[in-house]
Amino acid sequence: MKKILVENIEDGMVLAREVCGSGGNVLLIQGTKLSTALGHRLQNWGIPSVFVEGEEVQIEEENTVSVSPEELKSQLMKKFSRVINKPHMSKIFSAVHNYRLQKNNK
Amino acid sequence: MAIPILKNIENISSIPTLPTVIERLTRLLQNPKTSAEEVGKAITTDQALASKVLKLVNSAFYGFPGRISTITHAIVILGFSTVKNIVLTASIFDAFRGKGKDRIGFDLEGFWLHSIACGAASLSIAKQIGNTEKEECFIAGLIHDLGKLIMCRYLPKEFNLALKDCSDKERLLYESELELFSETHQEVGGFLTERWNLPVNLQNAVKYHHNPLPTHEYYLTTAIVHCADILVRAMDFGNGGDAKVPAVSEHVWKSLGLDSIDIAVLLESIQQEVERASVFIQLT
Repeated sequence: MKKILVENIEDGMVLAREVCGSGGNVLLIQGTKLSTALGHRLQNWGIPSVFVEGEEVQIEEENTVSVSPEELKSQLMKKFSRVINKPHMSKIFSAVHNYRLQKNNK
Repeated sequence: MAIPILKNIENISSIPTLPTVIERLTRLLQNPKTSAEEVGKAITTDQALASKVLKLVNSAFYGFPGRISTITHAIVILGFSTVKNIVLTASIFDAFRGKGKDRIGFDLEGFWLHSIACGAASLSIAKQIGNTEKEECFIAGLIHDLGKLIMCRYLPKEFNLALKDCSDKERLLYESELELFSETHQEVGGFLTERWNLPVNLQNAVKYHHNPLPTHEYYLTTAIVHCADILVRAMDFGNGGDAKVPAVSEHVWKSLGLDSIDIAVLLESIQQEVERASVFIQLT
């Protein structure tokens, strides 16, 4: 079994462990045959890495995956840039910011 | 001059249709004497649809993983209207199947994730505020951006203009559409939901999710979708074609009582609901 980043998933790889979302629900079961398309999908779901069958070559650094808190904040600010001064938007911004920081740290 | 949109869409004969079983179901469900067997029979005349319905029924989303083997059994356990909603959902996915990047580079995978997440978030908000029409809210959120899909498929050149414009000017796709086109994805989607004869609450959520007004019929459903759309964009679920978050409407905020709701709790429940809805991604 080896751990790889989702962007390195190749067609035909097989999941050695189930993939769970951050809410704890199973997204893909063990034994699922992977494909680059599925890898793209997992990326969309915010999954950084998965365990696949095969010899462990090297452990990829996980911290290359998670976004730095500063970058996360600036990404989010860009999304909110035109509405942050509108009513309630700063409240939504900070709630989402906290939520994503927590998710990032998991 | 604004580029004409709806006039061109109306002339396209290959616009997707919903299977006739939907209409038959609506008629059957209006009759109080209809039995589960009759409804089951109506659904199983379309075998491909029936197997999708069973797949959904047995997913974690509906809470009976792997235990329901016939449509009739599903009706007994889940009830007529839930099964009808499942059939409708499966049919909508069927009408628009197709993955990957479209030829103009619109990220369909991202689009469907945004749509499914918006449906799941609408369901979450409905639960939080005690709205009883949770299932309708899910479908309303799921289909709110269908107009984009129609434009992407049938007017790719025009749609691409709007995609480029909103990315260049860093604004909402909706704002670009307003400026460039005679109609936006709201009217195009609205046209489709009318042609499909969907219930008016679903039609209105599609037509007004960017600018809901309390005077619209079934305002609450539209308000819920409006809010869900904003939250899932902020949470980064999928991509509806632009990279911006719209502002929440003041009266939506008030009508949904969002001041008294813990947004952090709401976000957590949306996350859970989106994950449970992951089964729908397999239908795209």
